[in-house]
Amino acid sequence: MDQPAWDGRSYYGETQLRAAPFNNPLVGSYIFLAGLSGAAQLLATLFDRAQGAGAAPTVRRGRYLAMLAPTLGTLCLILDLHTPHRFYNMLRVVKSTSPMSLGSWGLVGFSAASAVTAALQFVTDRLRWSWPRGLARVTQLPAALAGGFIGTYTASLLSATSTPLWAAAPKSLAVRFASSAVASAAAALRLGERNGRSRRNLDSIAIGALAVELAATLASEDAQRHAGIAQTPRLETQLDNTLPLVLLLASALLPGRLGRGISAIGSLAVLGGGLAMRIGVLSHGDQSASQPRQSLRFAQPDNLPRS
Amino acid sequence: MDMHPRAQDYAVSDLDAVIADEAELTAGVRIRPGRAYGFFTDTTLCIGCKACEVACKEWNNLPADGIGLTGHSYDNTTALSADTWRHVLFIEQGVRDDVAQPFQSGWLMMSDVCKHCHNAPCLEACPTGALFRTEFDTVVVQQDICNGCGYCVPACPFGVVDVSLLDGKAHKCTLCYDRLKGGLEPACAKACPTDSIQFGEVDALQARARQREADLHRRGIASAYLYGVPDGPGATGGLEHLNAFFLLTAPPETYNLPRTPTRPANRVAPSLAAGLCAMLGLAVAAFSLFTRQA
Amino acid sequence: MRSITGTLLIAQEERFQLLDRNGVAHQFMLHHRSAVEPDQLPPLLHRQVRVSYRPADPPHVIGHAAVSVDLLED
Repeated sequence: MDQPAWDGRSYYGETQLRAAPFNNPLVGSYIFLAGLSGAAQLLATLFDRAQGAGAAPTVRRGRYLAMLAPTLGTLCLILDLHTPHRFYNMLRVVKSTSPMSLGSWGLVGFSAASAVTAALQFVTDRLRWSWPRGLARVTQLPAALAGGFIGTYTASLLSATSTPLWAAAPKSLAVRFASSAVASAAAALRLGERNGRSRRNLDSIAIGALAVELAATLASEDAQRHAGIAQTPRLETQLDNTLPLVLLLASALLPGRLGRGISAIGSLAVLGGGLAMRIGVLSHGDQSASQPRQSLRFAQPDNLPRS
Repeated sequence: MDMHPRAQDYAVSDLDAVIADEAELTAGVRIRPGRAYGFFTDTTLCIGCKACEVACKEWNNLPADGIGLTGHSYDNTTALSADTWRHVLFIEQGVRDDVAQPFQSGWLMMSDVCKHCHNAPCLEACPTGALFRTEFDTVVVQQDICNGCGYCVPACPFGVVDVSLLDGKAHKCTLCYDRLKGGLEPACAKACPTDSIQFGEVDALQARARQREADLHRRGIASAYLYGVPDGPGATGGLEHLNAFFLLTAPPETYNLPRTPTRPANRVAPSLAAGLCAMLGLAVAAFSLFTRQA
Repeated sequence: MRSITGTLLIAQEERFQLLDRNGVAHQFMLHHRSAVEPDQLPPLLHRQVRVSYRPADPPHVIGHAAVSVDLLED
């Protein structure tokens, strides 16, 4: 029998879903670091393949930057567990339906390949041997591929839940996380870059990635509006994404030291915005899950995927 | 060391052995591994006695939680949680408007429980394999494996699974896994005095439920419908069916149940594909930029 | 950290009940940092044990997290 349409009432306004019991600053930091490291490894590999020895300092920084996720990022993840000493149980099974399982294996693969690449880089730098350089050019390939994966799987991890805000926009959320990852890696590399041309290149990549992120954010908002649930406050998007984008665009137009200074500030804003965006997505998701008005609205027939 | 005399009570069982296949006597069903078992909760029979809540707490030795009064009718439990695996909802409809219903006198009562979904989102999300499907087609958290990552909690479309802050593990109804292994009916169903909670094989329960629904329709209660049977509300979006399903007489939202829940795992592939495509696109753009100016 | 001695009455998964000398039952769960595993509890049934625990915080549950369970010589 067809039920009468929902009149908007719930059970005494009690929560219908449970919000994720994640520690948002910790998990947000991990998502940010995974994106930063993964994309840094990816950009370093692309630099190396495109420019060879000419980009050696940038490549070195990228490879070292990639060690953030395996070290600090993994620590954040383990600290977020409610029974931390059992962290190794993450590697008991492989499950294609669980992005957290896939991501754990992705992180292990990325960590292994990145650690080997960083170690070879270290040996090259310190001992001035030449053979590790060639080997690192090989090991960086699997590291870059895994880097691309860990930079974006976190979005499908969130979307593959019942939390309305995350579930309403699975594709655009993934594009947001991926492009924000590339933007923060480019910004981080740019801050250490001394070569003017590489700096401008990295700025251009950050600008492009931020523009993609902005488009994906607008698409997310559209999907959420369509699903009938509340959206992220505009001001947050403006601070996390539009402000760094404007700063970087301005720096490209301004000449000399002023432009360089603004671009450095813009790069810092990209990094801060990337972290704040991840934590914001997590906490707004929790809010949408704990409000029955949103969770019951999201579970209405018009939001069923078309089959 | 002195011991309180009560500690000696029931130190040894009065029975020589467990009654074999006791569920056959109490629920008329013989429990055999390899078959699907579940609950049919008929809310038109519920009198709100909360015997199921108590029986569940007693058998599973769950600590009391939700201490305090909510003012929500007779419901002070509020929701299912790590320490509450059965929860009786109280909905007063028209009681104060003097509009009499043909049954339950304007009160809706419903004993909520884990649905043991056919495609269980919590199980599909669990990265450690702690959540597994038992030989009775139920979904259980293995406490010695769970590391408290909490990913099953947002995965559940019904807000059932919860992580306990006391022990740092996920908990939910086990459909009395230990009792099923001993041939016993789950504690809540056995305690239910009106048979609002019925335990049995899912196929048989579904047939019985459809009969009950038709019977209620014949008796003029047109609002009766099943929640969680194939193709019905609650079993949408790839969930197929719920092993613990319900007979309701008001829209699902009245009972805080989602009308059309979806299976979260269906979103993994599109989301991953979109993210990887974005990564690839940006990588290609970056590479062409680097080579052009090399 | 506090501790209490008594008789272990019920053990179910990682949850157990302890009856103290005054006949009051206390509810415990094994803390995630406890070295005791759930299957080590049933052999302690009806034996005298000392439980060290952290009082529930926040006190939303009438139960405590047991950090150690030691068998007393009787």
